[in-house]
This record gives sequence, C-alpha cells and structure tokens, in this order.
Amino acid sequence: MNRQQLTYLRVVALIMAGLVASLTIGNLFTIATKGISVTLPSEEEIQWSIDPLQKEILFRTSFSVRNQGAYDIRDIDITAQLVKNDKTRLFSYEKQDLVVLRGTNTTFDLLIPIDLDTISFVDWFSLIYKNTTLQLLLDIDALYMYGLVEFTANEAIDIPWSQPPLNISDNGTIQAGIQGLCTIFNITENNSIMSISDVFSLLSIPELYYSSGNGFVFNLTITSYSETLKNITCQIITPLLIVNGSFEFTASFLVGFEENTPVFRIQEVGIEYVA
Amino acid sequence: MSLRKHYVSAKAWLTFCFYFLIPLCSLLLILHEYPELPSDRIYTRIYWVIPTALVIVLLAQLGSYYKKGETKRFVLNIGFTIMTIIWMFGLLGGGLVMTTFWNEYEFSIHMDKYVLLIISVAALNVLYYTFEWRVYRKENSSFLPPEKKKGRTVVD
Repeated sequence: MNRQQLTYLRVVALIMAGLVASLTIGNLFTIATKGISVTLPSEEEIQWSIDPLQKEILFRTSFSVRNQGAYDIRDIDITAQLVKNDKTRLFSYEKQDLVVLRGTNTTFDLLIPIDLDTISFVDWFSLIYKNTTLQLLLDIDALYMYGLVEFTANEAIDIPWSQPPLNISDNGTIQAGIQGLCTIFNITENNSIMSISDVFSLLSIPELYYSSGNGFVFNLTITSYSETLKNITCQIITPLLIVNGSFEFTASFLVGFEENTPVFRIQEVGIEYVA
Repeated sequence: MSLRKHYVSAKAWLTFCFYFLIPLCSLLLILHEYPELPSDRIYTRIYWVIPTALVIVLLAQLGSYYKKGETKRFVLNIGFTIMTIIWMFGLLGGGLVMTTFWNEYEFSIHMDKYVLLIISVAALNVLYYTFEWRVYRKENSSFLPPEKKKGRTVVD
C-alpha cells in the first residue's frame, strides 16, 4: 500500500467515524430525551361492545407514536392477544408494517372484532355469564435509524369484563333476571354452598324472554315446585353462522328452603346441537 | 520524538472538543432542559464521559509526540481507538439494550446492530493505523531494528 491509498483509507475511516459520532449524539439523545415516545392505551381507554346480531365482540382502542427524531420509524409490528385470567387465549391479532414519519404524531386506531364462532363454546359461555378480568397482551416491534436501532415493548393490560347480557337491555327486570342467572352459573361452577342471601336473590329472579331476531333466544321460566321451592328453567339458543344449526342450552334448578335449610339443586343440564 | 511535543496537537484539540466538551455540554443541557428524565442516568454518563474522554485526549496528545511509523505512535493510536469504543459503549448505557419508560410502560431499545457498526468503524481505524505504521516504517529506515536496517542497506 502506498501513501495515496493510505490517504483514501484515512478519509473513509474519518467519514465513518464522523457518521457514527453524529448518529450517537443526534439520535440516541433524541431517544433519551423522549423525542420519540409511544402512548399505549390505559385500561379505561379500551372499550368493547357486543353485537348479538353479528355474533361479534368489538374491541376499540388506540395508541399513538410521537416521532420528533431525525428518521422515520418503520416496520412497526403489533401483535395483540386477548387471554382470560386462566391464560386461555381467546384470540390473537396482528398488524404489520406501520410507519410513523419523522416530525409527526400518529395515532393508530385498533378495531379488533372477535367472531364468537371462532372461540370455543365453553369460552363463549364463560364470557357471557361471568364477570372477569381479561388481559390484552401487546407486543410491539419497530425499527429506527435504518434498522440499526430496534424498539420492543411487551405489555399486559388488564381489561375489566362484565357479562355482556347485562348490556343487552336497559330494562331493570331483564337485568335482574340475567344477574340471577349468572349467580346460578357461578354457584354451579364453583360448587359452593348456598347461603340464605343467595337463595333470596334467586327467588327474586323475574321471568324473562329475550330474542335478538337472528335466532338468539334467552328464556327464563320460573314455576312453583312446592310451597317453599321454585323451579327455575333457563334456555339459551345460540345460532351458528358457519353451519346451519344452533346450540340449545337448557338448565333447570330447584331453589328455595326445605326444613329451614337453603336448597339449590340442579335438576337438569344439557347442551344440544340442533341442525 | 518530534519537536512538536511542546504544543497541544490539533488531534488532541479535536478530540477534546468531540469527546469531552460537546458530549458534556449536551448531557448538562439534557439534565437542565428535561428535569423529568431520571437524573441518575445522566449523571452516570457524565461520570463516565469525563475520565474516559480525558484518557482519549491524553492518548491523542501522546501519539502526536511520535512520527508516523514509530511503534509507540502505533500502539498509542490502537489504544486511542479502543478507548473510543469504551467511551461510546459507556455513553450508550453500557449494554446492548437500553430500557426506558414511556407512560409507565417499559420499552427496550436494542442497539446490537448499532454497536456492530461502531465496532466495524473501530476495526477500520485499526486497519488504517496498522497500514500507516507499516508504510511509514518501511519508508523511514531509522525506525527499523538494527539487523533489518543492515539488510536494507545491502539491498540498496
């Protein structure tokens, strides 16, 4: 190697060193001083609604990215998973290749529909009648500075969930009936010993009939079994969209007192597929 | 050793500005302008920049005492390059992953590719200093060991 070639090498080395130094001072300080920031939704900002006609639960939320850095943020990939408190996955959702240009604040709206036909019947049923806390597991990846720097975030956001039938109607009678039914299911599932207050709350359940028009039926019938016992029968018919048919769930309970002792007895429980 | 030893070299001045003065002023500015940022992180970087940058400046100045091709200059230049990597690594937080909080949520900034670029540039500088040492050493026979000098005379 001669002096001329050495000079060329020196120039290249100096340019590269200058480039790295400017990237360090200019961009990493931008990141450190929060010139780039991401605002994820809080649990209050995640809303959901149920559409019995479409058999769909729709989650609505948004997150925003503020990019005051020198380069665009590219290849933003979002993976979201909704899981129950026992970590059962209800659905997963992916959005890829989002871009936030430099000098901009961008808000991404996330509309996440969950087709109730795609989750298991047990999960569906548990969502319908139980108050619980769901978790939204968010996984965000993004590239900055020509891919030299990568951002990652893994967060779990709690979403309080109340049983959707309570939102079906504003009618107090219907809500009380559904609430009572939810109590029945909870008692059945937990196998807990009935308390007097449970019995009184079940005895106060009103009869109700609800039909959404697409075949979804919710029917609660109450008859006297004896002077102190009532027979509560619940029938839920859930139409299926993929195949021509429906699930019919029927449950019958005896509720009341026998010899001054609270009674809760399951008479009949069955799920039937009707073509 | 050259006669320039009594003066502060241009390289040492530039090194002082780019590795000490500008980063230190930037860090102090951040500390002053963004009080919401965790100050301990900034102080950690300041305490890192001051000693490492001074060592880099010292190495740059010592290197200027020797002519191109001298082994001591070559060794000092290699030390200079290694110290700049250490300096930058500390400025980045001392790791490949920097963790930061945005609105109570934790974000990780992965800089492995960026660090790889820094190492590549350092390697390029080491390559340059090696070639510089070899080229100038050949051209100036006074830097060669006695037996090599003798051999060179025979060839000439």
